[in-house]
Amino acid sequence: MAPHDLEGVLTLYQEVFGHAYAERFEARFSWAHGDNLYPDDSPKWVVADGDRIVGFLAAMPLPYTIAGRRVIAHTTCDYMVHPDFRFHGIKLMKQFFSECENCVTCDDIEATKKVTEWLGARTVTPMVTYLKVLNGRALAASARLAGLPEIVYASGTALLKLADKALMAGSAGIHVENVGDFDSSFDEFSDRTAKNIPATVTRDRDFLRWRYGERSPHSSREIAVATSPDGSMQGYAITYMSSEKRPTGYVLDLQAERGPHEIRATRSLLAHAARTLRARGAVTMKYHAVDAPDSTTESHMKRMGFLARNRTNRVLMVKFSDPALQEIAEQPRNWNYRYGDAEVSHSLA
Amino acid sequence: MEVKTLIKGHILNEIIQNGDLQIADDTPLIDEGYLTSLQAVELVMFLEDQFEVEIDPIEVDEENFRDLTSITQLIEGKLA
Repeated sequence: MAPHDLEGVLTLYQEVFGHAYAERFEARFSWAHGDNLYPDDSPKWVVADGDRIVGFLAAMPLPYTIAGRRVIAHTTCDYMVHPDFRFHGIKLMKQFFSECENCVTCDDIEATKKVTEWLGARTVTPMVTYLKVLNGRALAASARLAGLPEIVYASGTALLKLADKALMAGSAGIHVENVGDFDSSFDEFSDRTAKNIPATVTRDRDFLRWRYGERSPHSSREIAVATSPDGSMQGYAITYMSSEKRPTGYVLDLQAERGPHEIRATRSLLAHAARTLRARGAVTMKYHAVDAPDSTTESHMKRMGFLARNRTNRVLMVKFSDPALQEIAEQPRNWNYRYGDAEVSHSLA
Repeated sequence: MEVKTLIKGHILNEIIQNGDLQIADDTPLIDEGYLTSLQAVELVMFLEDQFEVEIDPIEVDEENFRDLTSITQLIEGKLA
């Protein structure tokens, strides 16, 4: 893709999705592909019919730590084809897999997932969703969710706050506070925690500052840090208020160091997230992630008042050129992978 | 059953999902919008399974999948 093709890409996007979405797309495209951590390793391709761009694929590079090794893997972050030229999506995907050594992707579009798998990526696992009701009466005005006891719909924020206190108890000794930015402690935390996780996005300061920085789609995020009595960082959570029809808070990332403080740190961070999101008017709070053998397993989340929803159609898929890395990456239990890591989260408004 | 007949049947009944549609051997399947990338992949999976052949992704292009004739030729070439 040449620089002058960008106009054609934007025109195509607008033609298919409309003007309002196209404006947001332009800003997000610039952040994801021009302003990322490896701008010289951000390949993009277009399919043209004469002078007209009818399809494009922009691959986004991200850092991963797999079995202690830092590697770059690309995701098919922005990929679309005009409805009249849908066969040609294959051309773009073939180009992606021929030029990008490693691929980690989390997509929810069936056609894309099928083509990705056909070209050699392996399906690891779908993401799971946990939901917590922050304001039952407000929820009752708009929806009835399967599996939710009726009493929840009659409960205003005061009653649910009280319930949360009991559910999320057991976090003594952990202090949580909001911070404005990602400092060097996030680098140290990332180094420490990656040692105990076979497969993860490398969430060091550089990554976090880009992913949740001023130009990102989620620049209005809040960062909460949990520390133990000796001041050592035990975890963090990044939350975001969505401007959806029903105000919804998202926990885009949640990390707690595996060890003696892990469960308390997770409880504290989620309790803090519930308080702050509720105060901002969120009716529900959502957390999507690949299931991991850590403090966010279903049993832990349920004990903290989260309802486990069905497995989502967002599926983690991987293809690493090194067979040793591929073997590790194909195992769901090896991953620490959260919603904010996935390209599918970028379009959350 | 003849290779072309099997392929045509699958395209009409499973890909296009309209058994009453009339397509000629040279109906341009891609240009007419009958074959999207997803459907092409699904067709490839059917062809590999049905005829016990391997189709490399590099062979999945506008030339080999242009119409019923070209798809049939691709498969018959592998069976020969």
